[in-house]
Amino acid sequence: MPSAAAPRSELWRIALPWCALGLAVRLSLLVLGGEPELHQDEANYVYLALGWERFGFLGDGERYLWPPLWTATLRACFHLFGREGLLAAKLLLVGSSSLIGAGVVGLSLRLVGRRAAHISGALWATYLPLAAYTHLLWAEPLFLCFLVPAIFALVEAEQQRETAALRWTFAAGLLLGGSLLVKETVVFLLPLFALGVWWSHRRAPGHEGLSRAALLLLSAAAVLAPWVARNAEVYGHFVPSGASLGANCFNGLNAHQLNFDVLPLERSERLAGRTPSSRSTFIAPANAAPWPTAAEVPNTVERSGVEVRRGLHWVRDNPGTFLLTRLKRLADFVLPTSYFVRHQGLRRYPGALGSPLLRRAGSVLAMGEVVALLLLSIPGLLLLAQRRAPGTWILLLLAGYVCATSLLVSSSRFRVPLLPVLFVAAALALSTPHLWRALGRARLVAALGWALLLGLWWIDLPELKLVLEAAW
Amino acid sequence: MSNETSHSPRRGSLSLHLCCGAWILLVALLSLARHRDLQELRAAAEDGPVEARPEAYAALRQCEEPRRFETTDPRLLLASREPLLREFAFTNTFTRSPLQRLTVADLDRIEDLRERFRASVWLHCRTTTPRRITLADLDRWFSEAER
Repeated sequence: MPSAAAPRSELWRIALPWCALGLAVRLSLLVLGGEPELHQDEANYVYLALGWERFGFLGDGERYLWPPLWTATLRACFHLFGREGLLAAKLLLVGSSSLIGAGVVGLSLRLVGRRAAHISGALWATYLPLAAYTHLLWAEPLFLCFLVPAIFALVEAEQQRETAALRWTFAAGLLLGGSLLVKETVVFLLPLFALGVWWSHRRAPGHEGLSRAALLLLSAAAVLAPWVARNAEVYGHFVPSGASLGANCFNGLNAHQLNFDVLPLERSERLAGRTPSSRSTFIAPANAAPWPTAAEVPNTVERSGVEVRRGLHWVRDNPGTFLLTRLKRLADFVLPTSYFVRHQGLRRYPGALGSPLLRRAGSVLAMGEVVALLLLSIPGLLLLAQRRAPGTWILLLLAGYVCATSLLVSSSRFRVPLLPVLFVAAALALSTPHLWRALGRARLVAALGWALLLGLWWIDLPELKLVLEAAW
Repeated sequence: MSNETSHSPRRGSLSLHLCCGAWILLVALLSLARHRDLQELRAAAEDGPVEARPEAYAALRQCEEPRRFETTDPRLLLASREPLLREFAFTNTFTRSPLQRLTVADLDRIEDLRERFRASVWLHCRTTTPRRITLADLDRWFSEAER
C-alpha cells in the first residue's frame, strides 16, 4: 500500500540505516580507489574552478557554458583546503549523497509502500555505478542531491492539500532551480512539470492548478535569477542554466559516433587498435563528413545556437541515418556499463580498488547490477503506472524525459537522472508477490520491453565486448 | 472557521508568489544598475582595478562586435606590470582567433618561473586541447602557492 499518510518519522526510520550503509559503501570506495587521475570533464571543472579562484570570474569551457554550482563548490574547496580541496569535494559528495538515498526511500514509501522503501534504499546504497560518482569529480551526485528531493517534494505536494501542498511545491521549485544551477539536463523538464501540475489540478476550485504551476515556475526562477542576470551581462543573452546544447548537437546530430563509455578505451594506449566493429547499420556511413563546430563565432551562447541549427540541418538532410543512429543512441543509453567500469578499463584507480581481484569483481558486479536494474524496472514501471498513486505521473514524466534526451547524445552517464525512478520501479517489482500474475494485461508490454532491451544490447554487443575485455 | 481555512492557503499562496516575484524584480533591477555598456567595459578592461580587468576582458570577448574586438592584441597584456594580467593573457579566454593566441614561445617572455608555470597551465589546459589539467599540475600549483 502507498504510505501517503505515513509520518515523516517513519521515512527517516527506514532511510537512516540505508543511508548509513550507502555512506559506508561510498567512503570505502573513496579510500580503496586512491586518487584517480582527472579525466575529461573532471579536468575541465577543475580548470574552471582554478581560473575562478585565480582571476575572480567564472569562465566558460569554450565549447560550452556550464551552470556554476559545481564549479563554485570546487572553487570553495580549493579556497578552503588548497590541494586537499579535491578530497574535501569528494567527501562533500559522499556526505550529501545521503539526501539522494533518503529521497529514493521517500519516493518508494509515498508511491509504493514500506517493503519497497526498504528495497529501494538497499538498491541505492549498493548500486556501484552510482556510488562510484562520489569519488569522481563529475557534477552528477550534486545534481541528484537537488533533483531527487525536488521530485520527492513534487510528489508530496501532489499528496498533500492546501498550505502543506503549497510549501512542498515552493520547495520543489527551489530545488529544481538548484538542480539547474548544477546541470542543464532538466531545463525543458521544468515547464513540463509545471504543465503536469496544472493538468493534475485543473478541476480544483480557485484556479489551484494554475496557482501551483505558477509557484513552481516562479520559485525555480527566483533561484536562477542571479545567474540569468549575470549571463545577460556577460553574454548578452538570457541563459537560464547552461549553453551546452550546441556541443551536444555536434556530438549527437552529426556524421560521427561518440560513445563516451567506449571512446576513451579505444583511444587508450593499452588497448590500441582494438576498436569495436560497431554494427554499421546503426552508425553514420564511413564516407559521410561530419559538420564542424562553429568555432568562428566568438560568443559562446550564440555559437551554441549556430551548432544547434547545424545539427537540425543535418537531420533534415539525413533523415534515414538520423533514425537509425537514434537506435544506436538508445543502445548506448542502456549499455550495461558505467564510468566506474570505464575507469577500471583505463586502469585509473591507483588504490586497492584497481587490483586485479577487485577490478574484475567490481566490474562484473557493476555490470550485473545495471542488467538486473534495467530488467526489473520494465515490469516495475508498468506496475507503478497501473497503481496510479497520486504523483506517479511525476516519476513517469521524468523517466520519459530522460529517455527522450538520450536520443540526442548518450552514454551510461546520461542514465544517472533516471536511476531514482529505476530504483523505485525495481523495488516495486521485487516487493510484488507473483509479479507475472500481478502484471495482468501489461504482461505483453513487459515482454515487448524486455525484447527491445535485448535487441538494444545486441546492437551494442561489440562495444560491450571491448568494455569487458578492458576491465578484465 | 471554514472561511479561514479556505482563505489562509490562498493568502499563503499569494504571499509566496509575491515573494518570488519581488525577488526576481530586485535581481533584475540590481542587474540593470550594474549594467556596463561596451564603452564602460572597454574602460574597465584598460584602466580599471587589476582584479576587475580579467572579467571585463572576458565580457568584452562575448559582447563586443567580433571584428572590432579581434583587433585587440592580447600580447599587450603580456607587457603589463601586473602579474595577474600577464598570467591572464595565457588563458586565451579573450580571443578565439588562432592567430592571436599566445604560444609556448611567448612563455619565454615571462621571467618569474612560478609565474611561467602558472601561465603554462592556462596555455595548455583549455578544454579543447588534448592536454588537460592533471593531478601533477595541481600538486605543483598548490605547493608553489604555499612557498
